[in-house]
Amino acid sequence: MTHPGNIPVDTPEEVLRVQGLVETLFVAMRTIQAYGTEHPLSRQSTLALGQRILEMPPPFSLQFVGQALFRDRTMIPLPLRVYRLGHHLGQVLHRLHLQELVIDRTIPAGNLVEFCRALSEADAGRLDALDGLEVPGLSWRELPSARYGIEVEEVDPEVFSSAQLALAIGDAELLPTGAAPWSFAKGLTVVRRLERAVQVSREAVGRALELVPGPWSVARRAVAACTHVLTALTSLEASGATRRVAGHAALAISWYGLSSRGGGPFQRAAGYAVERLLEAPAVARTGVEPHRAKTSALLFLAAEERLEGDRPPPLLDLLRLAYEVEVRRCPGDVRFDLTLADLLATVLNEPIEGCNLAWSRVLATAYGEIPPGARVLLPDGRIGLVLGDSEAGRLRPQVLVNGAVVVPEGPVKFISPAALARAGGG
Amino acid sequence: MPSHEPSSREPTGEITGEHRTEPVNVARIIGSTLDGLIRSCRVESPSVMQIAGRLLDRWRPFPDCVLRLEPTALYIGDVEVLTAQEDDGRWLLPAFMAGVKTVQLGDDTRPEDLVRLASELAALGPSLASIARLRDWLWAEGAEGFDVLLDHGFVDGLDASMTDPVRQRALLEALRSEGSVALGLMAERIASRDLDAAAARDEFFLPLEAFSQMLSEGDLSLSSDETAGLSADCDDSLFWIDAQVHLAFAHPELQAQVPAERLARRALALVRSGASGRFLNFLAELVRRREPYARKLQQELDTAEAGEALGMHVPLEERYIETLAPLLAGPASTLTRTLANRLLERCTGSRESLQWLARLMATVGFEAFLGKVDAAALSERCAVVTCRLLIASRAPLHPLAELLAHVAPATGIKLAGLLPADMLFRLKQPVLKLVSTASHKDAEALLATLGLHAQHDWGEVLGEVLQSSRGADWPLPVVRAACAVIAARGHAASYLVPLIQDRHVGDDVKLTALRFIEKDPAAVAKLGSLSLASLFQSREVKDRVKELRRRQEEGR
Repeated sequence: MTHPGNIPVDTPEEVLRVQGLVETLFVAMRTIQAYGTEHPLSRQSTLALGQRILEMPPPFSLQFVGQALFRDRTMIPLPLRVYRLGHHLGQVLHRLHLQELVIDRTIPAGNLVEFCRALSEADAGRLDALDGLEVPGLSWRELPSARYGIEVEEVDPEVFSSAQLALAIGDAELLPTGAAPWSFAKGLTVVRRLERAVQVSREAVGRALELVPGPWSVARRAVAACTHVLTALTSLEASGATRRVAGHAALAISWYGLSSRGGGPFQRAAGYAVERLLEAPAVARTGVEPHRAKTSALLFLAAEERLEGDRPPPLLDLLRLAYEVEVRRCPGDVRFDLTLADLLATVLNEPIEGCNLAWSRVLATAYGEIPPGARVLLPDGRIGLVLGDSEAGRLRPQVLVNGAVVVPEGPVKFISPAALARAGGG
Repeated sequence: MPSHEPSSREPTGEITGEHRTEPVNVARIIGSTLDGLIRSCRVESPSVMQIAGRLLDRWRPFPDCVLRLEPTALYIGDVEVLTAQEDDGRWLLPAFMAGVKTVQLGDDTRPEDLVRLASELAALGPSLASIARLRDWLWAEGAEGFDVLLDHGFVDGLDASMTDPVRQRALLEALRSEGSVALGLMAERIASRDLDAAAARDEFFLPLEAFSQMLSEGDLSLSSDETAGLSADCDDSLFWIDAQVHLAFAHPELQAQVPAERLARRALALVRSGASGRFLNFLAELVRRREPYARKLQQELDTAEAGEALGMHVPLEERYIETLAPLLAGPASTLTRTLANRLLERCTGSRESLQWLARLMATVGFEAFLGKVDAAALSERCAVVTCRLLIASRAPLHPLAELLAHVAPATGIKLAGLLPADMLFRLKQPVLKLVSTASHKDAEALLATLGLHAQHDWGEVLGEVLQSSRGADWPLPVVRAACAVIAARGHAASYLVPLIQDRHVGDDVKLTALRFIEKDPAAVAKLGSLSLASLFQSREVKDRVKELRRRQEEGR
């Protein structure tokens, strides 16, 4: 399934079919409203609707969310005339507290008439028009956090961040590989998702990043590097433009530089990335956008490692830190990975050569007071995973122990993979 | 907007101020002209730039005016200024679908910015690719010159809307459980050889105790100064401009895509907010480079605004002398002229800054530095201090001459008063020019001073000037003062008598000269030897000469 934020390009024929369906549904509703269910015109219009459904063909679903129309959760562009009809239908459905219609198979004409009658009644103000109605092949439901015609506001940060992160990792897997030119659109999609996730809750995105199921693939680690940069810069309240450029650069460097275990040198990764970025064709009619020029320029500086006075520009330090952390995340020759807490402990103790230690400190606190995902030993001897800060104190975070979230009685202790290894080996 | 920083201004969305009386009309004109511009871009009309200029003229008086997009209409405040139809405003719906919520002019919007935005809107169609392209363009800061607010809630926020919270919650719970279970079983899952390998590796001996201690003691937090410093470094516009310039130098094929005009414009915006030494470094680097791209950038940055701001804000530190020197020693430009003046004005206020300025001038070369200065624009105080500085620095005469020649006459008189007699005499040309341009009183005072300089014969100098100009260049009081100096130095016979002889000299000048001849017997004698009939036209002059002769006879 495609997802709506990463707008896919459907064929014009498919789009036209959906537009036609919306138009016919609207006409059928209005015809029944005007002439009743027995009139030949009403029969004719519902037959046309049935034909349109057949042409789609089922199964498919339509969502009316945020003034937009989606088919199978893919946004459908509408010309103005059809938009007005779709908008009206969306309002009618919203009145009935539903946003989604799911059509599994062809619907008998008689049932369609009933459904359109219910819609026409809802259009006239009856809010229980669908109560008790059953239409074989057609179901409808409310999307609980979706609203029609107003902004989406009531989204659980945990849900939102983990959803965006999972989608970002999925998008990252589609990034160009080998010598193919970079795709700014795809890169920007990943960055945009992560930026939104970080804006909603840095702690939640850190937690999701560390705990989301699945291996630490290159895509996930590239997304993690990008997230580190975005989180650090967000915590510093850097501008959105800077965040996006630096995040995009981190994503590109990591995508090209990381391997399944470890990764290549930072400078070489940046050099390879900038070549791919410069090969990407311009798509805007009006030339290269500042974001694109700045991302390429930042990667170029990273590849050249040009010094400004006696130190590299600060952003390069952050890019290097984010990259090196993800290189170390999956050390070669072993089959398990380090957590963010392990990695931060390392870079704080032994700063990456030439890197401003301040960035490690920023990153160490950017996701919360204790990095989520850290393995800790509780005072009662149990082992748990840090989920996030609690109000109990700095070293008393929320910890996940055997499926339950607890706040420990006293300070927790970090456990190193070496300790675990020794314990297991023993 | 997410892709553009929110403006520092708080938009009211309303037309305010002096135009409050006709806001609706103006708003509608803005809306319809914008639509007209977009349609013109669609058909690639050659007049798009003029339309953009007209629109900007209409819009600019209302910097707080915010265009708000709805799917089928455009609003300014509460006024619907454009309704989407099949032709008019057909860009509104796809733009809205791309997430555009509001559009506001930036601080420095230009017609080309409007054309750029209009071109992208003109290319919009009801297709996913087209909508996605506009959205990416906006996110990539494509709409330069505007503050555009992109609505998360429409396109991108749908991810969240469409996420089934029940399913998502279940996933999270599973994730947590899995993490917990995995943790519990970790010792069993990891193969022994992995454990051995891991235990042998240095990187697994993590300094977690130290980390834990740092966390518990709060050692990791940065001070607000450190945070602000890092943040400012990251957002430093000059860093971004510099980075792009270096990319363009290394990849000339990109120079057309990263136009010098756009970078220069951003640099100038930076200058406007207070140029720093780093801007100067950037400029100096450009001066050093030979590439046409560097030259083009320099041309674009060659504005009085940049010179003014640099002169006002460049730190008066030793290291910047070396950076400024090549710039000021190079060819004169709008920027260097303004910069030189501003530096003079700024540095003549205190002893320390004056010393810094003296070192800068000496490094650049006094002539080269003052060659950039628009002396006429200098304040009197600044000119006086500069003059003193030049005198004290034993600078060559030329810069002083330039200063004297170009400052306001009253200021010049003051400067002349500061110059030692010897220097003043060597600067006789600008001094004589001053005599011509200063007020009578100032010129008389200056000439009186010159007459007192015993070691230099100003009488001869003034005599030459008076003779050659026949007294026509100076007003009578000044002629009188000059004659006094000439006579006092014993040159009445040489210069004043020939003046009286000259038929082209005015009577009033001759009469004035006659007054100074009577005290000089040699001059009177010379005058007596001349034939009255052949020399004098005016009765008054003749009478005066006769009177002189008579008194001379009586004296004998």
